[in-house]
Amino acid sequence: MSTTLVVDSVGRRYGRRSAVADLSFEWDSGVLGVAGSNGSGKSTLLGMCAGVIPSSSGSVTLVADEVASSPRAGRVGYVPQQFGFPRSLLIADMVAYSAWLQGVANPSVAASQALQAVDLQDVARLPLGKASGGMARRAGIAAALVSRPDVLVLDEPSSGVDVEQREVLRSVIRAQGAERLVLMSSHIGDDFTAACRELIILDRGRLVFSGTPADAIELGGAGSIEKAIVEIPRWSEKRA
Amino acid sequence: MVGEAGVRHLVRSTFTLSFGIPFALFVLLDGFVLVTDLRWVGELGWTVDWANAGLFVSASLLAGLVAFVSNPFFASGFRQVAQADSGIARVRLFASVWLRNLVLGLAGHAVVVGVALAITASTGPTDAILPLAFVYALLPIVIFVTLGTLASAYAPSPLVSVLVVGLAYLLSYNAASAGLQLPLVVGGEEAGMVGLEFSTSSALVWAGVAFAITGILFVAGLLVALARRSSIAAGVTVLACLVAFAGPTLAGLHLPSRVETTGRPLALVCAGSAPRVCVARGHTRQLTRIAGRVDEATVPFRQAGVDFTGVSLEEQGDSYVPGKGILDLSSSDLDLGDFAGRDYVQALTKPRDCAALWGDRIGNGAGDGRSATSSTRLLDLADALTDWGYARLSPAGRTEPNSHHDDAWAHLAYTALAHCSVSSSLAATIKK
Repeated sequence: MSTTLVVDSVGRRYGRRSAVADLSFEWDSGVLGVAGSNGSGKSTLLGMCAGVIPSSSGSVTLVADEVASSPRAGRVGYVPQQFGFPRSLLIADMVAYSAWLQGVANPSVAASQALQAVDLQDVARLPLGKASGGMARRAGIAAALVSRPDVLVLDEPSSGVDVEQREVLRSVIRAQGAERLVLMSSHIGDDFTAACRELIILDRGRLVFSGTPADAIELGGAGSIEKAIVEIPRWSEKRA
Repeated sequence: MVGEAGVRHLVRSTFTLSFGIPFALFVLLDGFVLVTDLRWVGELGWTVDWANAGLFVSASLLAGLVAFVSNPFFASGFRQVAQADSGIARVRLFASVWLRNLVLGLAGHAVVVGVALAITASTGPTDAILPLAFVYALLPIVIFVTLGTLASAYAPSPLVSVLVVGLAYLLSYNAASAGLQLPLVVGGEEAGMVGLEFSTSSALVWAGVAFAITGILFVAGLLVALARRSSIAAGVTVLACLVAFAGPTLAGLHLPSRVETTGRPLALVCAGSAPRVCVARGHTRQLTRIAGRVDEATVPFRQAGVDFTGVSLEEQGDSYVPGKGILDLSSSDLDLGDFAGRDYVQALTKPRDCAALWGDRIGNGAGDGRSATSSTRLLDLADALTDWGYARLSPAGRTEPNSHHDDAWAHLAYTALAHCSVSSSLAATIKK
């Protein structure tokens, strides 16, 4: 069953400030990177795609076999930029507990499979309070995966993660992209080149680029995604 | 509601440091309050109820602790990752966290009660545990655990946890000092409980009120879990607290007394003779000392020719036993380790076989001038004889209103009290 994420003229206002404005795109396979400078609206867009932030205008829908529905828990797994775990829980218990909360039929089996998917099966008995930043991120992804969602939304998954763990994380994200739609934001350019098939760049809540990471680098003319994130909005503004 | 993984999580996370520290804190405070007042030692039947004294303070702390340990579960980050941000998942989240917190409270208090029972059982023969005491021990724990969990579900922050401690203490304090009809402060009675037992019907009423309050708070927690707007959650929380805590008081609810007299003779242990001294089994550890002090108190009476052969002084239950002297042992005196000397003398002078004074006639004698006069004379004479005996006991020659009487008067007075009959001429000798 193929699923398409349809973002149609979606917008979100906080008071008088517009965080995301009239943004549209569709995504139907692999990992889509969401890039932009601070305050560009990445987290707001991802929150709306995950169904945890309501949109002020437009719509986000998941279309599977010509049936459209709103994003909701179970169909969308979401790992926010900042989250805390009850430190007392073992990694395996936290994931199994998440599965039980979601009503997954066999929480232990689902947890075991999710931990395997994020390569944490060897440290499943580690308390979350003792897990590194990278492990905690992957544990969060495992918790989001236990319900086998159609879409996985990851808000800056590599934030605060060391280089070695970042590589593992990218590998996990690539593997997930082969099984479901993945939306991922980041401040680190290599995350996009290593894991994403395509990339969108936001500037002040508006979509200013959509294409492959290689296209972004070329269009930015500066040799890296980070510089492209700075240059493409300028170029876009001048063109407008 | 709490299935396989929920139970596993519950059990495993109970034995971890971040849960163990609040658990230990609660046990320490709960136990500390108990050891500041040791009158429960030796009274197995009432130890469980006395152990509730600690809950006056510790249950308030418990409310804040459960809010604190619940905060990571209700924080938005975890709810989003675990996809427990709406619907049945949040209901499960609230129910499972509440259940785990209840384990914290009940297990913590059980540790304290268990240690207290072990201590009291080691002091010697005692009466049996009263099972209904456990029902009363549960009530404030269940209520405050639910309050703390509700507060965390509404606003999972350390500040709210601290505020919950204050709110819970205020509720406990008000319930205790203003006599509010809330089962928040139960047990830890000041008075001796010998001769009393719990009323089953009262326990059901108290438990019913407690579970109604808990039910309101629990349903509020579920509604907060399901609420999409924080203003709705706030409204539900405030309304639930008002209905649960102010409602019973505003409605003028009057809870029945938790205890009633047993109507059965006390199980006693005795020592000595002339007089024979008997105390309730729970006070066995005090018997030798009390019998010794009674024996000292008899010295002036013996010198006046009073014979205590066949006289028996028994710890006072809650019913009059004809022919038995009354040994009025208050638990606070027992706790202090001794009584005032006058109390022992008074135990000897109280009219023993005197239904006119202790029995039915005093209750039915309203308007009966002769009965009232007779009772007054008996009591006045007993007081006068106590004055006399206590003055003789004091080495420095204490001055009491009736200490000037001679031994012959004392003998005459004692005989009159023993026969429950005071003549006018004897009554005239009493100085008030």
